[in-house]
Amino acid sequence: MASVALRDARKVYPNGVEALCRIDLEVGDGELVVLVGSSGCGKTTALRAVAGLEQLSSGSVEIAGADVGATTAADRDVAMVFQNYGLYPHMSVARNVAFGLRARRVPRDEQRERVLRIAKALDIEPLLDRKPRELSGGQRQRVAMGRALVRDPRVFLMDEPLSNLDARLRVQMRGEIVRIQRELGTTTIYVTHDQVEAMTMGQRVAVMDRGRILQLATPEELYEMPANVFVARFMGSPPINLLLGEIVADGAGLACRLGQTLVRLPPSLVAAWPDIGAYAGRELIVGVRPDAFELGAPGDPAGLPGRVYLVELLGSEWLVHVEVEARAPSGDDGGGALPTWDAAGDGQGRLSGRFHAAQRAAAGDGVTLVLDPGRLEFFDRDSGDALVRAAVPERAADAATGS
Amino acid sequence: MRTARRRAARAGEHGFLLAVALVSLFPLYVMLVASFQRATSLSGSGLLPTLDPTFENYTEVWNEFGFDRMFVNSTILSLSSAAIAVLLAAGAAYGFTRFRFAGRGVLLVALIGTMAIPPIVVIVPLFVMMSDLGLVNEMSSAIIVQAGLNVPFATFLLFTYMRELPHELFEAAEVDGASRWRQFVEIALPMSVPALVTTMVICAMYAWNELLIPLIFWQTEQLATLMVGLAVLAPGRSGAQDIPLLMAGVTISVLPLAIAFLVGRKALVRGLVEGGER
Repeated sequence: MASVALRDARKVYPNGVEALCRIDLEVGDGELVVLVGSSGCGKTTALRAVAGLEQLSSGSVEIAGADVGATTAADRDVAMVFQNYGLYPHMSVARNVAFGLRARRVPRDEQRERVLRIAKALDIEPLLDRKPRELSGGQRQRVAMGRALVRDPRVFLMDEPLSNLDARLRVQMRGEIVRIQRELGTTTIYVTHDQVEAMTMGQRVAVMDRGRILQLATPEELYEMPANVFVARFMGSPPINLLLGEIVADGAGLACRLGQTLVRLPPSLVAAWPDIGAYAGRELIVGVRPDAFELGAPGDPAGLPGRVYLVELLGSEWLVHVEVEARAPSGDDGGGALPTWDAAGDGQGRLSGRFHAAQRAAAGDGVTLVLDPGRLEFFDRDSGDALVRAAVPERAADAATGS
Repeated sequence: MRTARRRAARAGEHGFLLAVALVSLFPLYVMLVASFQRATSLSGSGLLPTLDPTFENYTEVWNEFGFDRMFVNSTILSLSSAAIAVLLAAGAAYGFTRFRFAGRGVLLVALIGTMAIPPIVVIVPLFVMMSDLGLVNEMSSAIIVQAGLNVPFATFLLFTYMRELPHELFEAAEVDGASRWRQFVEIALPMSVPALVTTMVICAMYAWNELLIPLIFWQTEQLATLMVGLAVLAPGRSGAQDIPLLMAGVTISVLPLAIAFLVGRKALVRGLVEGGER
């Protein structure tokens, strides 16, 4: 067991691509931290740097407080589970699992005993004599886990280990990995591009983009208090809706104008966002979670008018997509963090909301969206950073009262 | 209409392939037919199977011309030179695929470039070297030279195969604590078996068919190989050619390779066309 740290870690590939831009990451002893981001964000590079498979251009990697920059992968005492499992096709499952023990010259009897123990724990005992090609994806995944677990390493590194499994198996293995990790208490860094995996597995989650860690926080914090518009958009499914809004100060206090609709900001909300008054007369990006608004009758003056253009059944819920009379931020807004988010690119504001069957609407219906101002998120239009929030308890209280 | 045209095209293709096959097999046919004929009966109906076949040519060439000994010598030269070449080439190919070092590209190109040098160009310096070492007419001389000349080709073949082996496996092994040597022995070699077999067979075939090297480095009769024996046999004992005898000798020399190819045809082709990715 050991803590892991990347300090001021930078990696530039020979082709000039900067995969890691001076990142700092600390993973506590026994903690499970998930690195999440879209492909090419540097998450796998960071993991490989910890493993010793990638040399940093500058900065350092520490395991248990010791700089391991000059140590080879073999000497770092870490175990890694690869995306394609990395099983040796010509070896039986038993030999695959025991490979690391053989390489470390563990006595034969002990090898056998440890392989059997792990095989029992992972329910792969009947497969020990088979070759990897004779196994299903889920079984291969277990064998790869077994190979990592059997060595009892200081750190587990997992590089999208579930991405090749079907959805159901993925959910099952997700729980299993978390259970095993909690039981063993081994420090683990887990890389994924799947935000659901990140949210459900990580004690803390680092959201990465273009070689940087944008936010490292607990899943709750990431969802409730995203540091910027990229994190807000990345965490949550369906993702947060973004609109351009203008802060208006008038005799009645502050309001946010979305298109022609004026959404009043109650004093408790203004207190929760101390800087929001400074944005009076300026536009900012307003984030609306899919569950932060309700469908009202057409013509409701407090609501945002719109028209339903698509309805999707999710099972117990409906996903309703509405074109609203408000503008969406463009790729240039939010510090360029959202180059591709607005697929249509026409500046038309669109909101997707999750509703129970009772609130179902049909495509083509005119509707009014009644926003819950207490659940709105505000981001600077230029930088994409979230506006400064007041201390957490105050905000939580606001959310609870729905004001 | 369309099916008829397709059938005609298919028939044309088959006809062409059949013609190519016949042309290719014709020399083998002549070889076999002639080898069972008597020297006297060959003239005239040489191309037709004889009604009075004889094994005399085989027994004569095997017993009297020392083809038994030559067969053993050829086998030793082929197998040992091929084994040495494959062993060295496997190490070199692994090095080129798994290590990044200064001058790697240049070295690889230089090594592969030596494939373009005809052996006859280097045979004199090699002979001088071997004779300085006192190895001419020693078993080792032709084996070393033959192996050395095959190393670039074998390296090239194995390099192209090993390059396709999934990197992830070596990285997994590295993280698991395996040394480079263990990675070579336990992962690279077993995963390259199809290519190793193919390379071994091709190198052995080259050595089996080699005339120049054994002729120059194994000058004693005791060390003569089948190809040397055939070269001696070709002009005939008294100047006149004994075609059936020669053909029996050729058949003996062709047979092991033909059998090896027939048995290992699929594996051989797989090793040539497949990469290591699976």
